[in-house]
Amino acid sequence: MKRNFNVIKNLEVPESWVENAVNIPQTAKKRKRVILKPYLIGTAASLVIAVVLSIIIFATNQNKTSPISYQSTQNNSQPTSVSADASGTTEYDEPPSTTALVEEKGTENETIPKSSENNQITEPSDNTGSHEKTTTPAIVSVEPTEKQQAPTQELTDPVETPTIPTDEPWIPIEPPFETTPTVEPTETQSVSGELFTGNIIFFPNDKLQQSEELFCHIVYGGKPMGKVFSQAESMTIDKTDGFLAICNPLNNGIEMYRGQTCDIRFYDRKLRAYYFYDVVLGTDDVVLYTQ
Amino acid sequence: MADKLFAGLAYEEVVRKYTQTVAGVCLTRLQIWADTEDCFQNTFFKLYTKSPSFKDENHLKAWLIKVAVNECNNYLKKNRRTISIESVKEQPSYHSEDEMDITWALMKLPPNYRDILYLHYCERYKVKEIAKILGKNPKTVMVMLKRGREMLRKIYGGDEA
Repeated sequence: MKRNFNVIKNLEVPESWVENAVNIPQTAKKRKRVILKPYLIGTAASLVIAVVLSIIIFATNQNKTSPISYQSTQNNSQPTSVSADASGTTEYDEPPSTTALVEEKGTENETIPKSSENNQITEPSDNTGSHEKTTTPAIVSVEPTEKQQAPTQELTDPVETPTIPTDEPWIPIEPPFETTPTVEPTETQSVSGELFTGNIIFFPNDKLQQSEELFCHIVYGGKPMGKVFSQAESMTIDKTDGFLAICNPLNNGIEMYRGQTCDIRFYDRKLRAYYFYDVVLGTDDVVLYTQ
Repeated sequence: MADKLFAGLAYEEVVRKYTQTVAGVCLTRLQIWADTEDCFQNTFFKLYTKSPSFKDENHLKAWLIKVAVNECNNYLKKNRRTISIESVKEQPSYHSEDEMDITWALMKLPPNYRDILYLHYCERYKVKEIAKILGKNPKTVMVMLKRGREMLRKIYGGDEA
């Protein structure tokens, strides 16, 4: 006798199953709508997310690009004729030791040699840290020229024009400057003296980079002649032209008189690489060097 | 209503012709009426919505069996649940007055063996065809068929199925 599977083979399927299966074409259309709904919702949601993400990315890119545009505008507004290329700032671990050398062309038979003697003073530097300002030896040699054009008051009172740097010139710069000048010019001096028409030419050391923006801050008569980040006093390092920075105070609206002492300070945008000079203004350009 | 043709047959004709085959596959696999109905309906729903092209009726039948098996497997994966006593009472009885009917013994085999034995003895498929439908190696199917027969014989205590 052969065994069989007649129960499962001749399975009595309920008629309702067959009817439901036959009616699937009618219900399939209804189901189709239901199936499409999540798809449409998902598509709309993904579109919204994509738009939001693109907006966020666009906004972040805008924030990143804004400082660059600011810097470029700063550089473009340089009053000097040196290169105005935009550049990043460099970091300096230690303030460089500087030596100020003020040269004034002319004969040496002038009555101002005392100032030159005073200027050749060397002070030891104390490099204590990366961010501390240090006092460095400064050698300032003044060679006055065209003395016949200098005011008589300067000649008669040369002693009162000391060019020695103050005790701690490397004080942190916090505008406005509160350092007091060594000698305050009298009214007669400032009135009777002739305007200083020369340039301030600065030869920085190699720690400054090409196209570095440098600010020359002048304190004259006890008053700063411009703000710390003054556009008129800013300079741009130009290595291609002997690595110098030129500032023309008169063209920048800063009136200084010959024979007077002024403090000239240089610093970068991060208030580092700070240089300090006491300079007696002569008739020609003021040339400053760093060692 | 439905203008679609499947291997030359209208949709309703296909449903009525292969109702027992699809239901048998599903019931052999699931052993629960309610679940069997779900998979049964889903199989024909896929047939209508996907509307694949078939070479002949054998191809159509094989496709229906394959889809039904897959539906049952998916259903078991998604719906692992305990069965209530009421639902068990509503299950069809696999015992028959016919003493030669050993469907009850078939239902005691593991699911994979049930499928192969059902397709071989009820649907008259050969080993290669079963292997193709179930996506298995023919040798595997042959071994499982042999072992299934042995297990079946042990269960019902007879000589041969």
